[in-house]
Amino acid sequence: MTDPIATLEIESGASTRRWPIRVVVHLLTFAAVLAVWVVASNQGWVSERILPPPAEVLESWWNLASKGILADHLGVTLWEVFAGFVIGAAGGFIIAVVASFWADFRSVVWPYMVALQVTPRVAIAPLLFIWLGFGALPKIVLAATICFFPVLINSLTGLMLVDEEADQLFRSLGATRSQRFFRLALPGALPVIFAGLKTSISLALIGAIVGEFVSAQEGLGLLIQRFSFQLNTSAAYAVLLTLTVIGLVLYGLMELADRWIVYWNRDDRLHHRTEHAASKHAAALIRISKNQ
Amino acid sequence: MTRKFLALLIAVAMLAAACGSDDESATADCGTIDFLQPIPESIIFWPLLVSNELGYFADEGIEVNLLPGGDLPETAFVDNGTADIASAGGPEVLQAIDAGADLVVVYDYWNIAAEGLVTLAGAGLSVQDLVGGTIGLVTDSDLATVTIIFDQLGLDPSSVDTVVLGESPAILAESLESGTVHAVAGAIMDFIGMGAAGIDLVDIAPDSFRASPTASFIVTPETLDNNSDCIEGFLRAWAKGTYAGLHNGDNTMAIGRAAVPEEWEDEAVGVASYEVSVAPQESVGGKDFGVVQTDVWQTVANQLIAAGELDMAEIDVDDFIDQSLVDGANSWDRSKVQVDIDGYGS
Repeated sequence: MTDPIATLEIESGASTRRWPIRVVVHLLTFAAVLAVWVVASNQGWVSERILPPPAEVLESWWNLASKGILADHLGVTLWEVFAGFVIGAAGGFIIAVVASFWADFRSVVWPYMVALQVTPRVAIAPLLFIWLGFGALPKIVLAATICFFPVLINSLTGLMLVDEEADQLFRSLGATRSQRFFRLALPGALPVIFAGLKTSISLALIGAIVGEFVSAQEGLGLLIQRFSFQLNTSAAYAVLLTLTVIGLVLYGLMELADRWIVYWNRDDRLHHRTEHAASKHAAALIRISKNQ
Repeated sequence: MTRKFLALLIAVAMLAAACGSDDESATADCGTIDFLQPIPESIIFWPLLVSNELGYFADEGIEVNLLPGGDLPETAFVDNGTADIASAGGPEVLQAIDAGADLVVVYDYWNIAAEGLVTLAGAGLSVQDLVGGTIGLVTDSDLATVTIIFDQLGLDPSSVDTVVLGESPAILAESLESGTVHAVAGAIMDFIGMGAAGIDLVDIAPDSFRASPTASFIVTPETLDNNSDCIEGFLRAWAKGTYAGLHNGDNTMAIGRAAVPEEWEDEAVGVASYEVSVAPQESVGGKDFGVVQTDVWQTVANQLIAAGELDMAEIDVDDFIDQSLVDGANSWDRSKVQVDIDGYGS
């Protein structure tokens, strides 16, 4: 099981390109986007009320950051995101594990999982406040319910796609159920699970912000609302920019965790480990991985 | 349709909440009072900020736990016991009572309609000029504002097109200035940012529309029976804060700046938010603060019934208005409050 993005990069030659060139390409792309933004603002193609110039946004961001306003609200939002992500991801993974073992449980629970997924969370957000009261809890639960499903579906898919021949080999060697799970099924599923986790962490951020839009005393979602109502568009964009950066950082952290934990799925990491830290346990996992 | 669907969802949620929880009634001891208002801490509702800062709630033995309601139905949270007391608009209270909620209105503190029908100041339009034109709505519920205003002026509400624009003041401003819409119906809070940004707006709603119970305090009958002293203490602290804010605007704004700095990121917006909320919070006719205007409530109720917004054929507002706490809420020394607010920061 390989990471589709990594596969695409390899196929397109991106990963073989030297890193300075890649950095330059990224910088040029970013500069081009910024240039279009600046020209659009300067030429009046888009009203400054709708899209303020980047310089104004950066100035607003600096104002908010230097006064500590961003930091105060950032902590609240991050807590909701992390708590929601941990609960949602753990819940999705645990249910997927149980469902992968017991077909009856899977058939009973699955319709409810799908129903939860197709129910618009924005619509049930007000109800969560009625059920759970105010404060962080309804936002955490909202984030958890939104980020739950990708982990569930990816984990279940990964755990169900056990290589039949490898499984037969494990059985013939007398491996216990737990050994087959921890040594075969779970390592094989991890790349897919991490794909779900990367999606989920972004969704957790969205869930927390949606919750703050409904009702909040603190948080970046509240700040966006305040500044939007005040027609302080540059400040609203500054908060939005902060959220975007947070989203990228969270995604990047998951990517790093993916690279670190699922090392056998990345050639460079695999080589690094085999060359510098080859152990019996790692070698066993690599063999299993190669068998897939 | 949307409102009925939401009401159904809320009813189901409340039923579930009632079944699944211990019966923690709305009654609060005077330690903490859960207070729900439609917006987070803001200079617009300065009594909360001022009374917290000057210690008026503490004097009553009260710690206020603010529940920011946002777009959530305040009446539902009082009815299910989440909030001990809440600020809610007249139409929402009437609709909740129409749906069977058991609520009591104990205090009016915002006596001018928070809704308005605005046009660009330079356009020179009256409501009559809007016939055949297009009115933008901040939310679909603002259609009621258009309907009531047109009814009051003897105009046919269906003679104008309406379009929901959303809550973004940027979109509202662009729609007005581009001529996409000729007027916008919404809450005055939706227009504060536009005004502070230099967009001159004029409210063309008739005076008869402005008299409205826009923000009133509601409790359950059980809370009123079991916890009236604490509720009266809350109202007294609120009234003191209201008076302090009316007496000394500069110091009130200073309290607002310290409490909610992000609201003052654009100073003009903060000042405009204070100024726009002065007139609605003045006591009606120089009477006590919080006097519930039963005649205005009855008028609004009748209008909503006529507009088909309420299922009841008739409603007597005296059935759910209780003014027994208003006298006690006004029993305090105004000169002392003046000294307190004038001395703030010195």
